[in-house]
Amino acid sequence: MKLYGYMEKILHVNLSEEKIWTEPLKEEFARMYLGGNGFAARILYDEVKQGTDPFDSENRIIFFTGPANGTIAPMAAKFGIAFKSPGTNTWMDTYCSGSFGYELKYAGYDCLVISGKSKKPVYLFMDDDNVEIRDACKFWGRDTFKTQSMIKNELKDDTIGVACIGVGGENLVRYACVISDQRAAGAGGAGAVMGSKNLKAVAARGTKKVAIPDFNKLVELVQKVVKTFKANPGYKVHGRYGSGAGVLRLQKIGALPANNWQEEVFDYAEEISAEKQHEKYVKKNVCCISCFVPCSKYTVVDDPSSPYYGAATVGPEYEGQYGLGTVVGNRSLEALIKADQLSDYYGLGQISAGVCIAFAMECYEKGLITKKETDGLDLRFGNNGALMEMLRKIAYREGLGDILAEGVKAAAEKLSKIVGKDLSYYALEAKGMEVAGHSPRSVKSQAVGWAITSKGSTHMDVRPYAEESGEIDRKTVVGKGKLAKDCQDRTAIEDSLIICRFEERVGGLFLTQTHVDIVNLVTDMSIDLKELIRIAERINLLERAFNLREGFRRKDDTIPKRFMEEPIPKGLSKGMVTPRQELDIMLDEYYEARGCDKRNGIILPEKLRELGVNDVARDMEKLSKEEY
Amino acid sequence: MKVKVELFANLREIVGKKEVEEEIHEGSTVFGLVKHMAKKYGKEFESFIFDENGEIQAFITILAGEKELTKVTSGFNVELKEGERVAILLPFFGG
Repeated sequence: MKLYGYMEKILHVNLSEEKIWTEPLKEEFARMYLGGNGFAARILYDEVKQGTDPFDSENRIIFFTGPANGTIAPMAAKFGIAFKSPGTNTWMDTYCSGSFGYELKYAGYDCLVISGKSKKPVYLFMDDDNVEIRDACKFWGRDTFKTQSMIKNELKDDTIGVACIGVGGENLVRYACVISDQRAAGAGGAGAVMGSKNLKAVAARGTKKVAIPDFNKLVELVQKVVKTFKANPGYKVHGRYGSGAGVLRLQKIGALPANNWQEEVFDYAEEISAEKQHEKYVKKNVCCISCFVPCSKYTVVDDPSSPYYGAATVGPEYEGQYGLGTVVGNRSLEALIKADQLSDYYGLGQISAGVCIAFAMECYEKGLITKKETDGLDLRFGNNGALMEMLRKIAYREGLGDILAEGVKAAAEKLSKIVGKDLSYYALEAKGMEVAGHSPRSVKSQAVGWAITSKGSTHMDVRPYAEESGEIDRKTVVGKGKLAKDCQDRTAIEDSLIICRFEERVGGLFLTQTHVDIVNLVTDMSIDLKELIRIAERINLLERAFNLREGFRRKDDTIPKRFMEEPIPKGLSKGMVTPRQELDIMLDEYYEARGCDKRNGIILPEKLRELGVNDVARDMEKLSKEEY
Repeated sequence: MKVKVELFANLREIVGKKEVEEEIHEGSTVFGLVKHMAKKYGKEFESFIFDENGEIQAFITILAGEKELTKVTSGFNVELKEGERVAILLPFFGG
C-alpha cells in the first residue's frame, strides 16, 4: 500500500564502517509519529543510549523531512536535524529552510540517520538511489559558502542541495550550526556533531515525486490558507519587514533584551531596526520554496565609505538582531549585517554566540574579568571590532574564544575558576542552552516555555508572539502552564509535517482543524483533532523521556536566576520579574496537563500507556522507582 | 487638544513620518484618535488597524503614556490627555 506524503524509506549511514543501507518506513510507525520531528524523536530514543557523549561516534545525527515537504502544502520549505546536543546533553532538533531538505526528499528519503565517525573528512551525496561517502579533505577548513560552491562544482550541478559546516563545526564549537544555501539550522550544535563525525557536508539531488491522495483538495486548502494569511495585516508587516519588525515593538513594551539582559530597553533600537534595514539595506525580499511570504531579506552594505562595505547576508532576522545586536550592545546595523554574515561563514549559532559574548562583556564591564582574560580585547558592549574578533576567536577556538566555544554555562564555570569569583549569575541559559530573545520576566509563557522545552531556553516550542502582540495578556501567570503544553503540541506537529512556524497566524496558537486538514490532505491518514493531539503528546513525551533518562528532572526545568530575582529596571515593563513561586505555579499546571509527576517531572507511566508507548512507560517506571 | 503619535513599520510608510501630531477634541479616547487618523490617512491605514466590524484588531497594541492598551486587557476607550504620547504597534510574527 502506498503511504501518501512519504518516500517510504529511511536511509542509514554508518561512517565508521562505511556502510549504507535503507529500511522501509512502516505504516504503523508513520501513524504513531507522523514524520520529521516525530520520527527523529523515536529513532534517537531507540538508538542513542543513556550517557552517550554527544561527540561519541554512537551519537546519531538525523536529517529529516516531513510528509508536507516536497508537496504544495503551504509553507513547507524546511528540513530538520536531530541529535543529542553537545551544548545541553539533551534531545535537540533544529530547522533550516535551505534546499538540502527537499532534494533529500525528492531523492527518496524521509530520514537520513548517520552514525559512527569517519577516519578522515567526508561528505555524503544522495543522488536518488545512489548514495556515496565522498572525500572532503579539500573542503576541510573552508567556510560554509565556499564549501557549498566547491561541492556543487565537484558534482557539476549548481542545483544540488547542500548542508554543511564551517570552521566552527570542525572545531567542535558546541553551538556550531549547519548552513544550507544562506539559511541556518542554528540551535544546539548540529554543526559540532557533524564535525565530531568528520562529516563536512551532506548533499542531495532528487528526481522523485511525492505522492499525495488528492491534488485538487490540497490546492483548495492552500488557497484557503493563502487567503486567510493575506487578509491578516500582519502578513504585510512580516512580508515587508520580516521578523525584525519585533525590535521596535518589543522596545516599546519594554521587552527588548539589551546588554546581556541588564535592561529590556535598548537605547539604540531604532538604529538596528527592521524599519532602518528596509529603508537603507534590503535589496530583495524573497520567499522560501513553497511559500508565499517574502520574509527573507537580502541585505547589503553598499556604501563604499562604510567600514563594513560589501557585507551581505540573508537577514538579520529578529533573533540575529537580538543575538548579534541588542544583547551585545551593537548599535550599528552595518556591523550587524557583517556579524550576521560572519556567523554564517564560520557556521556559528547566532543566538548562542551572541549570548556567550554578551556574558563576557558584562563580566568585563563589571571588572570581574580583565584584559588578561579577554586576550587584550576591550570587550565593552557596543565595541563591534571586539564582537567581530570574538566571533573569529570562537570559531577557531583561540584564547577566550576557546572558553566561550564550550557554551555559556561551561564558560562561566571555567572563567569562575580562573578569576576565583562566581560568574554563573551572568551566564544566561536553561539546561545549558543560551537564551533566545524573548522576555521571561514580562511574557510569562516564555518563562515556563524556556523551563520545560526539551532543548532548553528556546522560543521555538512555546511561542511568545500572541502575548507579545497583545492577543493574550502577557502579564498573567495562571493558565500559562496549560498554554505552554498546548502550544508545544502544535509546534511538534508543525515540526513533524514540517511546516514553518509562521503558519501560526493561520492555523492558530494551538492545534486546530487546519492542522488536521493538512495532515489528511498530504497523508490520507483520515485522523481527527483528538488523534492529532495524541500524536503530538507522544512526540513531546518521547523528547522529555530522552532527557529524563539522561538524569534531567523538575529541578532542571528552570530559568536563569536573573529573571527570577532581578526586576526589569526601566521601560514599560519596569519592575516585572518572574519569581520562583510564579514559575512553580506554571510548572505545576504544565506537568498536570502533560501527564508528569509534579514532584520530579517524570512522565506518568499510565499516560504513556494511554498513548500506546508501553516500552517508554516501563523506562519511566524504572526511573520513578530509582527516585523513591 | 494635541497628542503626539509614534508610528512603526508599514504605518510609517503610509503616513511618511515616524511621528505625527494630531489635533483632536478634548475628551477624545484612544479609539477616537485612531478613527480620526484612519479618516485622515486613508483606507490602507484603516485596514491595518480595524477589522470588518470597525473594531480595533486583537493584535494591535496602543500605548498611551505609560498605559499599554490591548483588546483583551483594557480595550481602547481610554481618555487621552493634552500632550500625551501615543504609539501604535502592529503585530509581530516572530523569529
